[in-house]
Amino acid sequence: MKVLELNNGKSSFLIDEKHIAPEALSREDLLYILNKIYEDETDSIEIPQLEELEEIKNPIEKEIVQQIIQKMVEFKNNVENIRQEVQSQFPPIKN
Amino acid sequence: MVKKIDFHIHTIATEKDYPFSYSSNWIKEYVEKAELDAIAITNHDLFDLENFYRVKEDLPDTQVFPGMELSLEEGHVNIIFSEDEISHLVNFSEWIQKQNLGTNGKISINDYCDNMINWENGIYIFELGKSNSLKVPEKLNEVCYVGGVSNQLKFQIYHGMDDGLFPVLFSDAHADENDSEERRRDIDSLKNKNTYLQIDNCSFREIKNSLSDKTKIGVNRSYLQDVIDIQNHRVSTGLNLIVGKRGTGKTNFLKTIKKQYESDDIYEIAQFETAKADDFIEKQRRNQGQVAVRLWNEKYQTQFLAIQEYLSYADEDYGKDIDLYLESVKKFAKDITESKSTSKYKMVKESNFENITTRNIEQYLTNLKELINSRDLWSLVNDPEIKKRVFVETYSELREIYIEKQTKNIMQEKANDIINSVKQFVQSKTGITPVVGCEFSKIIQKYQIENEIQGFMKKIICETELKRENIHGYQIIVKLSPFKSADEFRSDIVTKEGVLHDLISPYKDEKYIDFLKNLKKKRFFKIGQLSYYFLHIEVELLDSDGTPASGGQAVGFALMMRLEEAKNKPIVLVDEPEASLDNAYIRGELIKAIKGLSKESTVFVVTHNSTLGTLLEPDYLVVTTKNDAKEYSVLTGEFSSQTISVNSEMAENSYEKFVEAMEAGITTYIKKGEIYESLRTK
Repeated sequence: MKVLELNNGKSSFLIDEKHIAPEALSREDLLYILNKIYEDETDSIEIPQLEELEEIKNPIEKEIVQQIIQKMVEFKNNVENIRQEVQSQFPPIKN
Repeated sequence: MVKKIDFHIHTIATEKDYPFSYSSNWIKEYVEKAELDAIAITNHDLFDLENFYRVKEDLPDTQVFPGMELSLEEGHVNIIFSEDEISHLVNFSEWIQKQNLGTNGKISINDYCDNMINWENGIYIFELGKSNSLKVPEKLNEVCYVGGVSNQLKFQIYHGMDDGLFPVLFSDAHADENDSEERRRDIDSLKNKNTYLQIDNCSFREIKNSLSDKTKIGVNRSYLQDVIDIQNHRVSTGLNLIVGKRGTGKTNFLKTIKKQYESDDIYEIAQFETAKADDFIEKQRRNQGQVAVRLWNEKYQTQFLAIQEYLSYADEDYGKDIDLYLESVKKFAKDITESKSTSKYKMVKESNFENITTRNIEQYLTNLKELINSRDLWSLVNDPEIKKRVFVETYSELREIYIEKQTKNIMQEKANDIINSVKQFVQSKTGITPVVGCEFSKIIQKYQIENEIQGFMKKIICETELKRENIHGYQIIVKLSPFKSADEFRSDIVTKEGVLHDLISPYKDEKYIDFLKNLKKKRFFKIGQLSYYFLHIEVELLDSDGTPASGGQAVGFALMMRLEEAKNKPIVLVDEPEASLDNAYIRGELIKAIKGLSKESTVFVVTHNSTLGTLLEPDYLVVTTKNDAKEYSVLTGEFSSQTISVNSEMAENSYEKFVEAMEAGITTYIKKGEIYESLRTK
């Protein structure tokens, strides 16, 4: 699953199959993506490389996307730690 | 009291033996080393009066009983008599000698009974576990008989059987230090082949009576009850039954016991206290509930701690942080695009590093360290060093991972500091507002924790049976169930604070995060009691049919619980426990419980109830009396001995006084029997 789609120098975040322009990204949209990254245990979420963002033509849009993608990568690197900690606090309940 | 007896010793070689000679030295040494209180002389088909008196002379402090190892057609049986029957035994021995039985000859049971006068008065010990063992001849069914075994293991097997003969252990020794067979003369081994009886005196009568009660027979002193003195009255360390008419001093006797022992050593179930059963049951109900809930709490301790921790930051609004972040990103993007000078400061565009969580690793390290440093743990296992090494290696590896993550965190924090200073510098030079910090990890962690809490609460907030235990015919059931109403919640928590809208509504709608956040704001809220706000605790007391116990039944249950509780005390006084209990319950449950208790503690039971008194079969009987001159006396005695005495002097038969106390006299006892019989025959 992709978090961002690049098309003809334009970008949009993918939220539940909807395309959201970077400047229109809301709190709920961002939380949606971050939670998807957290829940993605098979590593199927694709976060673009920063170089790929160079094709975005609008510099403001590019800067927004770069900032957010950078944070997402940083978050993704930490997900396994968070997951371990949450699971250690809530181990599966055996009946 | 406990006495040690050897029921089978040979002192004269007969045709059925190989030759050996009686040795006074051997018998003296044997009795001394084995610490015997009584022995029986049982030679093959022979009773030799001269030899018997010689043995008695050799053992002036030991009770010696006359007897014989008789070769019946069915097998061998040791017959033992009181010295009062010695002339009959002599005559019988003369008769049997004339039969010329030789090495393999036997006599019939009828011949025996015809020629042994007062044969009914003897003790018969049939040899068990040998090829020549026999079945008890029908003619001897009414006499006192037991089974003789040759070792402790066989004794325990027969002792543990529900049917079959009660066992006694004997040596079958030859009283000769030069006997050709070592096993017949080796005192160190033979001294373990004797029987212990719970009796006060080694009179023939007491021995005979005690053999009718398996619990009074043992091969080890410690399994039988000994005696102690209460103001010169001998009583048992096991179960004592105190009977006597009203006003004869039973309660006074209990007071005497209380005076003699520290109050901390005594557990008393006082007379009429059963009337306080409701309070006791309520206390038990609470205790049972608390114990079960504590176990349930322990089961989910990890989750409850996590919820407690969550509540410490539950009100933090991370949504606002995201809004601020997104807003600043957009503003920053606009500013930086318009500014020409900042393009050369690449660092200003960098986002901050996320903090790596290591709390779970810290917890694992603490737990491992505790195990590694536990002296108790490693003292329990074999090869502790080898096993400990695995834990130490695991600890070391985990420590490396922890250090690596922590180092990275520190480096990243430093980097974040640098990035932030650069951003501030650039901002001061260009007016561009940098992107505000926002920890996605922290935000998502909280979100996911809330998800887990919601799932966890959904699973535990349901009907759950924590405990179902059968206690003396009753069932205790501890259940957890969701709160049905705000009133139920308030009643359980003991609060008057309103809870309907902010707690019970979200609780019923399964909006547990809202429930928890609102709960935290309540005046009654105590974090340590967290789990008690989640479910209603219900403790049910049911009878054996599964229906709620009635008041009378509850009294029985309360008494049983008190008897359980009493097990922690060395002395237990139970004064008239029969109040409100029917005889079926007394017979089926109460007696069993009291007997069980007497295995752990010294128990004194006072009763006027004939079912309890007669079926209790205590170790010791205590009878209190008052004569016409208003003189009080206390008579005690081993119950199975059927005798009681004042300070062990002038023993008398216990029958009359016991029946007097239990049945308001022999006449009443007979009358009751007649009435029952007349009902049966009508």
